[in-house]
Amino acid sequence: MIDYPIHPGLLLIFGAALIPFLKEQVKKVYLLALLGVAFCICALLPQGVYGCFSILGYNLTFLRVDKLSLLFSYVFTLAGLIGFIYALHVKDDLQHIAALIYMGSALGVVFAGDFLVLFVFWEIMAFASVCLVWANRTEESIKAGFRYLLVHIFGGILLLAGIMLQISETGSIAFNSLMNLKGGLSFYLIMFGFMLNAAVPPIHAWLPDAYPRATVTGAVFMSAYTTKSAVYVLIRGFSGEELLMILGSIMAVYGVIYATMENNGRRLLAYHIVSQVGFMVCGIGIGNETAINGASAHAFAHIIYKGLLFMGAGAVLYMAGTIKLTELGGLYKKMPLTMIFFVIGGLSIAGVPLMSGFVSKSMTITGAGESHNAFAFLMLTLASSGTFLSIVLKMTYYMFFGKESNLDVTEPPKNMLVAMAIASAICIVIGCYPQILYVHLPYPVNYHPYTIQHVLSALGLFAFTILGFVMLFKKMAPKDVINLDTDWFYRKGAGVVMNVINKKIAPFEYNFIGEVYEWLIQKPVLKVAGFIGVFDRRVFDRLSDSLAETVTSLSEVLRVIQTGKAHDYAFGVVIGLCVAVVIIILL
Amino acid sequence: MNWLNRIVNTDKITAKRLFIIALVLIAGLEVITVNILHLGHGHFWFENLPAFGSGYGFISCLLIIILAKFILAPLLGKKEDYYD
Repeated sequence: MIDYPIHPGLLLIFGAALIPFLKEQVKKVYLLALLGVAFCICALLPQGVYGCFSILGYNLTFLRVDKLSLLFSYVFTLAGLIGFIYALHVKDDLQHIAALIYMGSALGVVFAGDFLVLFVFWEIMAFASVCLVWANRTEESIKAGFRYLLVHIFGGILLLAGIMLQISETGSIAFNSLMNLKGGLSFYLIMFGFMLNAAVPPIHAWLPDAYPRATVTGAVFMSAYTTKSAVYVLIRGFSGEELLMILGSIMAVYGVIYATMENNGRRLLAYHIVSQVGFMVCGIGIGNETAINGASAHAFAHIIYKGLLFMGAGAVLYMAGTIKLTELGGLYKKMPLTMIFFVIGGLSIAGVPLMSGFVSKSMTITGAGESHNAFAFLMLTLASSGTFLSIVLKMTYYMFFGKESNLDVTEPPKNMLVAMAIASAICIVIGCYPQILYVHLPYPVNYHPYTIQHVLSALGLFAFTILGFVMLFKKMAPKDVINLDTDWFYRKGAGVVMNVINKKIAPFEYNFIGEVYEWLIQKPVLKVAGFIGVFDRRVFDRLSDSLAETVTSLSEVLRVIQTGKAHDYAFGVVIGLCVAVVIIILL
Repeated sequence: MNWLNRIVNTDKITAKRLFIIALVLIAGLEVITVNILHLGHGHFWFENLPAFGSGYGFISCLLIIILAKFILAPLLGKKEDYYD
């Protein structure tokens, strides 16, 4: 067991193969047991490097177990367990299989010790997760799934190119910090591939495009793995890269601004993934121990509370059939438990004291403070206020309070409520006893979230955000619109480009370049060809003509003999024979 | 869920009064602890301004609403069937 531990990711991937053969009740037990076993394996894994194979002179490492990979494996399996409790009522095998393979490959990425294993799991992750979008089986989700897949394949190809360059430069496929390669093409290609999965603007639009179109339970899984495994590889490879600090700060605010405009509840939450991952990416870019600890802790806390929020929004979508804020309202009377769990998730993501977001988010912000980075500090604090504004105030108000919507809804199925209750409990426990989380962080923690200044400044931030919300309340009403984002460039922009090509460039090519071509090339070529033609006719043709004439006249002469009658030829043969005999005798 | 109904149906004047008291209390406590008792030690000079958290929260909220709802929403908002 110690020498060759079972790979928890492969366990989930191969475990998925049994799903179609199991009966209803057995399947439920099997799913939860599988995730439970995977969690226990991760919890028992001793630190070290296992599962090494040598292929074609390269050392593949399937299991690199250290504090960082363990932290992510705990939360990945835990989120999987909660997610499957939430998805127990689903009777669609495709979704269960896709979710298991998706989780397994995310674990594979986290434990991969080299670039080749990492890349293989990275691609499996993209293909498994797109099934959770397609499983919705609407035209809209199938199209969105294809866009999602194309974007990820594009990122994967750039990542592979970077990996190949890196291998040719260093001769090693080991995946460690790449900061010593800074400035090279391979460095930027790999970082781009990672950043695409982390949804860093402007290459983030696949996320709010695809996630809201996934199935109710699929979105819960998707919110956990793709972006957070990207955060993990960025921590491994790019800690301290300044570009990430800048982009992370921008992305934290960018997501919040789009979330404030958004009407579709699940897309609003998707923009908050962009914003929250911004905190982590910024922490990675800052790169000091507190910031890296903060980014890791935030990834852990984020997976749980973001899952909780998607579960709450999913429950409303499942029961009411819509998640547009303009069509919802007053649900607190009919779904009070869902509302309470959702608010707990909202308070956690905003970072209200005693909730999990507070102990992880403030750590990243303190990391910015330790590096005296005022830009990151102010941007992240601004994004905190915006998170509170758009989830706790706007989304909660228009979904559960506000005007009555007269929707005929009840609380969701029990398994959904249980999953939300567990996630809520984790949020509160981590918020109240942060040491539970802190002992698992990659660096030793010398940080106390509950200082008087921290707590009061957070409370002030949120209280006065409420004041701003109340003052501009009329402007906050959601509108039944969609907001353009950078996916416009490949959804509409590509069409515009084609139109420009067809209507502008093609006629221009035909009219102008065609003319120029005719004058500059076609006509001179014809002139030269004409001259060569004359030469050809006068010299070569005459030569061949005279040859032909000679042959013709010769054949005219020969035609006299060629009568075509057999006795003429026989006569000729006889004469010939006689001549031959005479010649022989004479000689 | 009676307590929930009671909270939601609090009359507007009481709610307003409670809210204002809470705001003053929090901002006041911030000033007292940071600027008078010097219990904090921020990393930046601006963290020690009077009621920095409260003030920055208010400014942030207004900034985000103005940027999102007043400036960007009219530019980027399209009908639902825009992409169809």
